[in-house]
Amino acid sequence: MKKKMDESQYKEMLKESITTQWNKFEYFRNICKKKNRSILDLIKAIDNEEYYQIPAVAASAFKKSKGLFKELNDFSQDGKFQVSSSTSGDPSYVFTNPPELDKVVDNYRLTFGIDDVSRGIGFAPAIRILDALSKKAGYMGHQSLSRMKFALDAAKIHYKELIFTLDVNLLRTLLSKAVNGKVVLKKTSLDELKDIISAAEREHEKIGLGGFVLLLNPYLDQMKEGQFSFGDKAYFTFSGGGYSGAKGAIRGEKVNKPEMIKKIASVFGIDKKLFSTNIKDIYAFTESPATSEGYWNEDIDDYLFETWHESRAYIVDPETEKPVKSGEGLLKFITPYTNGNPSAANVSVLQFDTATIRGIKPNFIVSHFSHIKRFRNASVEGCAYKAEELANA
Amino acid sequence: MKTEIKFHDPFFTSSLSDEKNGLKISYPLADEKNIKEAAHQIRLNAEIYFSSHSADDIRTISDKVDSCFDDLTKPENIELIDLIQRSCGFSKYDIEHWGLGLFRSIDSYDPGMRGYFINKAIKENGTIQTNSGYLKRFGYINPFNKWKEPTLLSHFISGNVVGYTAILSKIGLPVKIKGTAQILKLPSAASFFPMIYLNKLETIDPDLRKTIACGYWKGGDDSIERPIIEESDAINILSSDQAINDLLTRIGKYHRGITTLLHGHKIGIAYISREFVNDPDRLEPTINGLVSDISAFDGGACYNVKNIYVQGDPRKFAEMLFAKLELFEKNVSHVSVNARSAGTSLYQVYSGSNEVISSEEKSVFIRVRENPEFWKPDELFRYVQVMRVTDEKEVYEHIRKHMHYLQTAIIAVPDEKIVPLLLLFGKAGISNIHYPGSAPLINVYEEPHDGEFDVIRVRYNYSARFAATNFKINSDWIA
Repeated sequence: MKKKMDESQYKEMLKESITTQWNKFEYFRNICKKKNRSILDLIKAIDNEEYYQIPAVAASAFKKSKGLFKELNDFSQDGKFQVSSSTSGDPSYVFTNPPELDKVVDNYRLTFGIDDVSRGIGFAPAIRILDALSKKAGYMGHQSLSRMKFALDAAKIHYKELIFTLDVNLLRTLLSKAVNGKVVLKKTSLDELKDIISAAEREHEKIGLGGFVLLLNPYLDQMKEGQFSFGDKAYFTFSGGGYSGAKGAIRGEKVNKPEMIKKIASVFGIDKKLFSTNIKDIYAFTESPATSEGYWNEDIDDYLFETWHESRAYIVDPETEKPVKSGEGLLKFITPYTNGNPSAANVSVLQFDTATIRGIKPNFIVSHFSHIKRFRNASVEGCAYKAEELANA
Repeated sequence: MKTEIKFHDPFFTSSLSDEKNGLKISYPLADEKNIKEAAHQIRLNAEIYFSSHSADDIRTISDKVDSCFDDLTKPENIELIDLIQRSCGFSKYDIEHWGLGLFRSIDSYDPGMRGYFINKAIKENGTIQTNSGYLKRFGYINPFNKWKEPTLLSHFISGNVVGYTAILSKIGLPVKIKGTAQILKLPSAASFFPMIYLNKLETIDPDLRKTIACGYWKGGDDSIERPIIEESDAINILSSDQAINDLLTRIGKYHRGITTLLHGHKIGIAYISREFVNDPDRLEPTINGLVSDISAFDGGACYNVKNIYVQGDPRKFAEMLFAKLELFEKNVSHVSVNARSAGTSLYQVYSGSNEVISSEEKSVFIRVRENPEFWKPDELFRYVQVMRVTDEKEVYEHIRKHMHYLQTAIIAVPDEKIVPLLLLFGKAGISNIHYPGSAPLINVYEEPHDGEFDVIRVRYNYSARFAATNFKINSDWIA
């Protein structure tokens, strides 16, 4: 259960986190100075519930290529790097202290865990794969943990019976390592998967299916309409995006969300009226602990996300960073640290994703949003070519 | 009122329209159904045309086409610059100076000397003095290699620099024996000028134009690219490393063993020695030159300087450079509309950093580092890194591990160091060593492109690389 956080509690936690962030990070002080904000202005803004006045650090500032680690992280405290899955080949590294690391797992547990559901199938790499990847991602002498791993750890805590569909083929890897040093992966077969799902159906057990749409879809494509009849006993929780056809090293076809939902409903026998309770996506990114949940909404043909209860979100103008009242803009998340002591300058973060406002308070705080898309301005490289070429290449 | 422009290609007869800034432009679109037929037709046309025209005649025709873009004060060229600016977004300054400016050096070059220095560099081992600089071969050329003319050369271009995108078609013109049929992919960001160039060719020699098929298709579209790969016996690719790898995989599958010319992601460097850093009379023209080497086409071209190695205080140098870059952007060449969003996102990331000097106008960014490295920028923009180095050997140590990314080096060093630097940086993988302010000005008869003379390599499969300077002594560029 999500613990309610009232506004006064949020304000107090935010004041503590922002004051500490101000004191620690010159980078943050510099961006505030450029926007003519002193720490007193920020405290006043918090008192007035005008949190949008707190300047945000761009989430992409944490990307490895930006080289701002020393300016954005506080290595004087204990911690580990959270590392993003790096679809672009340029991962974000966010130094995170132990209480905050626990908080991220806890947030995922709250969003992945479904009451009375103990069986789960994770369309994701097994934890051992992510452990190995995390080990490789160590940076500046600090241990690193893939953000994806937090989600899987959380699922593992909640579900008594949980399998992951992508794992290491131990025997073939042993042989392959000797020959070319490469790891051989194995995917759960369609028949195996159908057996697990059928067993839950037969036993009238609830089942949770989730993870990456890109790993689920190849199975879904091979399943027949009416294959199962779960009614309200099947739950779907997606995470990590990938609807564009790419997530980390995983590549697939671009996903048409409404068509995918229709297919899920027809294969698993789920009624339309259950879409808004049984099918959800989680919007989260490495630079923030927030894990906002969005249930499928037939009226808007997309997930309708509710802002994470411990964050305040705004949709802002990409140029001015000013909050907008309606329509589309960049997502800005403000989330205090649980212990009030930021290990990175990420209390207020501007993510280069656009979203559409679906619910907003008079003070611009966005309660609901949808249609999340990557902001069009992508990093580029090439011999004489422009951003559009990247998409066309 | 909209100005409508319709470009046609004799072989790719479908079309695609693009509307912006009061222009409606139709470009030819390649159609998967007739690729093979088009390839057969241009091959046949090339066979007939090149067996009935001498290389000298064709060179005269080609010069005639190039000379159309010489005089930029002519009303038709003034109009052309305006149209390129409206259709592609580049600044007028860049189009005039670096895009169309290229043609003057090409068609005014002594016809009798064309190919002379290149042939000399292939045959000789030493450093060759060219008209404008020095040229040196690195590596061995097998004398038993045979000259072989391709019958169809295809260009996969993702270019954003006016000029280069069109002159690639000259690679297919005859060098010794005869020319080749060519297919050109229009780059989506800069399709306008290649079509103007081919139209000009059509008015001067319609039969030569018929040896070329040119059109747009979405890069990576296998239904179009597969038949092109299957039909071609040489392929020239200018694109991102990712797109190059993707094409190479498919070339390996569909037509293994054909000649490939690869031009991927490049990162320019500059080395400024203490003699230039400490002498205000030499420092000023150096910085003025670097300003254009950084700003040309908003830093999106392969030759733009990104890493600046300074034998002196990097912060002081960076601050002087920054001030000039800002003034240049304000008074001479504005950031193009296409590139503004890159400036905004860089500002969002770096405005808080003490290591990066960022302009409030989001038009210029300079990172300053005490410790040198070979920096790969995360955005292509007017965005560079200035670092302190002890000497050129330290620069060499940093760049040599990144040969794949090397192409242009701007140097400001005493006269006696110019040739030694050609040898040192050439060994590291640099191919074009220029004086400040001339990064975009490649002399195709004296300098390689990414270490290659494509016009030769497409016919004569050597494995050596070349490097050249475009000046001999500093008085060539400092008054």
